[in-house]
Amino acid sequence: MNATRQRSLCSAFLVALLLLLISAGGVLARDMESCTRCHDETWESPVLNILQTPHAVMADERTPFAPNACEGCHGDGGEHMKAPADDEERTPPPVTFGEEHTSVAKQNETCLGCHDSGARMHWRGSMHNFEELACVSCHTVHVPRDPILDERKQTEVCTSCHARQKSEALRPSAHPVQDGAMSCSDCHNPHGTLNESLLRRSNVNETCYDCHAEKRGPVLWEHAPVTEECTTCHQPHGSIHQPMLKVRGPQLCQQCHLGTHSSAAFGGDSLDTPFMAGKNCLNCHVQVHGSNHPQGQRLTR
Amino acid sequence: MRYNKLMAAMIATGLCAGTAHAFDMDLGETVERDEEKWAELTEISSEVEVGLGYVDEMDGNAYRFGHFTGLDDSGAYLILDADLRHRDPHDSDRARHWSLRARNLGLRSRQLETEYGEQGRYRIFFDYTEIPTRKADDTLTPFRETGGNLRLPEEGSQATIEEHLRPVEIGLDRQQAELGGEVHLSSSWSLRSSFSQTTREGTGTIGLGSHWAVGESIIAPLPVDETTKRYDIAAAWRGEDSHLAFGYRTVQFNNEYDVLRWDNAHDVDWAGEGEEKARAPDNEHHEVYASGNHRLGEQTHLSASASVGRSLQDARFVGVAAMSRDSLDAAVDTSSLGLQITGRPTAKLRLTSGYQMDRRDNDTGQVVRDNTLVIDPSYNYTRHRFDLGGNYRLASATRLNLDYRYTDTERDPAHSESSEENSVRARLRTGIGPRLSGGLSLGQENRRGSTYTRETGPDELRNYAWADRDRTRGGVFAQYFPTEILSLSLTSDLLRDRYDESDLGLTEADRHITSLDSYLAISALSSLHGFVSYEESDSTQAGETWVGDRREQVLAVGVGGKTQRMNEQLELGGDFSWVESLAELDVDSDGRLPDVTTRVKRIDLYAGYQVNRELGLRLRYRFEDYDSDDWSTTGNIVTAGGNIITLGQDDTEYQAQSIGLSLAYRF
Repeated sequence: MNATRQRSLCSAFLVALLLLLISAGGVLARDMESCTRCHDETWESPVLNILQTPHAVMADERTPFAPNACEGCHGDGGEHMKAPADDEERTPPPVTFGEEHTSVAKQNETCLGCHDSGARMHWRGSMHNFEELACVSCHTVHVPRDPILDERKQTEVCTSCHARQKSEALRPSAHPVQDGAMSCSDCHNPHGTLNESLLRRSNVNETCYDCHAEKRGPVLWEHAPVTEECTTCHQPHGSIHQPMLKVRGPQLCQQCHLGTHSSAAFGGDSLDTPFMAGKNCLNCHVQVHGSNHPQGQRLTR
Repeated sequence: MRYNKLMAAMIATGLCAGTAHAFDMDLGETVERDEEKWAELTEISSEVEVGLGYVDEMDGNAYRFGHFTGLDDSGAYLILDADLRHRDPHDSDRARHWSLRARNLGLRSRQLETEYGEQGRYRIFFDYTEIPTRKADDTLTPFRETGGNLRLPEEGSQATIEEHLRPVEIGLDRQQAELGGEVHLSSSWSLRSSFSQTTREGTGTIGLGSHWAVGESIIAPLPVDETTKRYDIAAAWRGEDSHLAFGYRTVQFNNEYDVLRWDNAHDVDWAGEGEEKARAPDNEHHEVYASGNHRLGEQTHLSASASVGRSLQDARFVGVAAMSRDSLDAAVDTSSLGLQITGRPTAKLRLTSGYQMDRRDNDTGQVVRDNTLVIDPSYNYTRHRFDLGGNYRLASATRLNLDYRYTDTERDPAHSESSEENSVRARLRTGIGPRLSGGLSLGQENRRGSTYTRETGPDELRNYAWADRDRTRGGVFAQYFPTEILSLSLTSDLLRDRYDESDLGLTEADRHITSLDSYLAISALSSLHGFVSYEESDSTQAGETWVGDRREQVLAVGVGGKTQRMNEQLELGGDFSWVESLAELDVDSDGRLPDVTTRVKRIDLYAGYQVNRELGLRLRYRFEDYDSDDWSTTGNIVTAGGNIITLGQDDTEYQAQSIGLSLAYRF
């Protein structure tokens, strides 16, 4: 190679580099442009929305986009950018999400590289982790707003697998999940907790007290199953019995209480007894969640 | 020559990058970028929606149409929604962002979410939510509410009750406001804090019975005015192999009404002395909590969480009894501990083992009533739970999960001193080719408790929640993709409980539910979905002289779809759901009770037309057909026997619809 050619080559390289820097605002942006030359506004699976999201904020150096643009999550795209031979398919990027090219574990490790603290701290070993769910099984990244983070849309995502809860949420007595005023994640942490049923709080009752603080007490006359677990009587995802009871009264109460008047068989069509109509047992034992009245030992006051 | 080509390619690359061009894979050449489309995809936009809606009660009393929706008043309502967002450009040197999201501002189900911050540095937010519950407004009561008490007109009596009835709405409004923030102190430390206040106001219902021997009771409207305040502060630390979060939270509940004083409408003379009940007392809870994990090895993680709390209640006793204290001065200590270790000894095997402890310790101490009755309000329990689980990949598409759990609960004082539970579950999932996957699950649980003893009641009765129980679980599930655009999912689960040691109480219960889900992606812009779910539960319950058989069936069906037409200018969507339930109870000695049925049909339709990039029209329609038949809550003010004064409520049966037309402006 003679000196003239070397100089020409260097000059051309510098010109190209200069043009890139001027036009794209820097080396980092150029990396994104090298992807969006193909994955542009006409691409069938729009990727450009990522620029509206927290994932693509260059000023936040924690984001993978800041130093590595698309490759921050998808890995080195060098092989992917090479034109395939006529009879071959293009090599996919090292990490593709929601597709078979990349194992679920590898997909998730990419996400967990940043999102492994806070509410996702206990992901490893969690129920959904063991079911080999990918983060993108629930999350959508290349959209302005991830649907699962929207209370009104989250239920749709969760109940695509949790069929029983989907049916229960439609029942006449249910929390306002279907109406978007509550979401599954108000009570559960799908990323894993060390608690029963992925509950956010340490047990069922602490979870319920978040909204129903009046039930916490402590009171003078406690009702043992109430104090121990609300779900002894209630079906929190929805029921056909008000208020979200597993079974109607008085039969619900009679599962634990027989003796004196509670031993009676409540059936037939003579429904004018105070043990049947209205609130049945709660016509009198109204303080079923516990009473603080000195004379409330029968939970009537 | 070779170097000339290289030089030309480099210059071309630079030029291409310097102008708005893109490479078209189909054409195999560089084409000019569609700047408008590019901007639409990359630039954040905001939207404000304004319009009018109308609620129409087609048939019956549609007050419940507003349950959780706020659509309880017939007539027009304002549609005012907003989704305002700002984020500095992605390549800016600042990462400021703010957003304001408002929904249903013209209804009592309004929601507001606001946020401001700089990504990676700090964030503050304010949220506001209203949730209306609407039960009935066709109810009648003789009571007048004064200061949270229920009074009767002095000139009245049970004989003239019909003359003193007045209408009352049964419904509550929950309002919650929350203010909070988060700051990233360094790359490792962050701090967050929030304060919220929830108020619950309105009218619920209560049973007012004090003379069970004569069989009298009244269903009355209950004034509700409660406030709950919560404060939470927490710090989080993120290390290379470890994470830690710890914080403090407190909850303070205040009931505006500490006592309910009420007149007895069964009295012959309503001018008599009233009676009283205690309301839920003010209480507060304080808790410190911590959670963390640590990577022990490449594939081994240790997780832990713990909390210690104290619940206090010091509301003055109501009533005339002489108590050894003016108030209960109650204190309950709560604590929890969770530990878990997860590892992956081989590429195919994952193991996890966990322990959880949950304890409630009532530290209140004894109280003496009328110098004679010693009351010990303590109810304590300690629960230990051990878990062992594994997931083994038998083949590339076949996994086996095995889980074992042991739970030990000790209670004091002892209705049932302790109970032990052992459960084993197995779940096999496999794929048969690329289009079919499925599996089955099996589980066996047994619970053994000590004898349930009560002061009154037959010895043979076992407490449902703690009685000896053998539970069998079974389930099948399958997912089938007949084509690339259609998916079908089937799940069927069976639960079988046997209480063989219980001669009285619940003796057996079965529950099974089968669901079929389908999704059809007609194109990238059009899809259909549907599901059907059927559940049946049966149980047998024994009294001393009777046996009751309960049977319940619930059918839920849903279909829907959405599509975008006219070059994505027109968006159409709709959902239809239908839920029907039937509850039967047959008591051998007394006969079958009337069935309790509910049928709810709902249709939601949506149409959006985007006139241009900025302007869009939205049309929403909702129809609900609700029909419930419950003999226990409907009927006469005074029942045939004259012993229950009800609210005279009718069966909930209505048809209602709402329609809303709005203009959306995007900018």
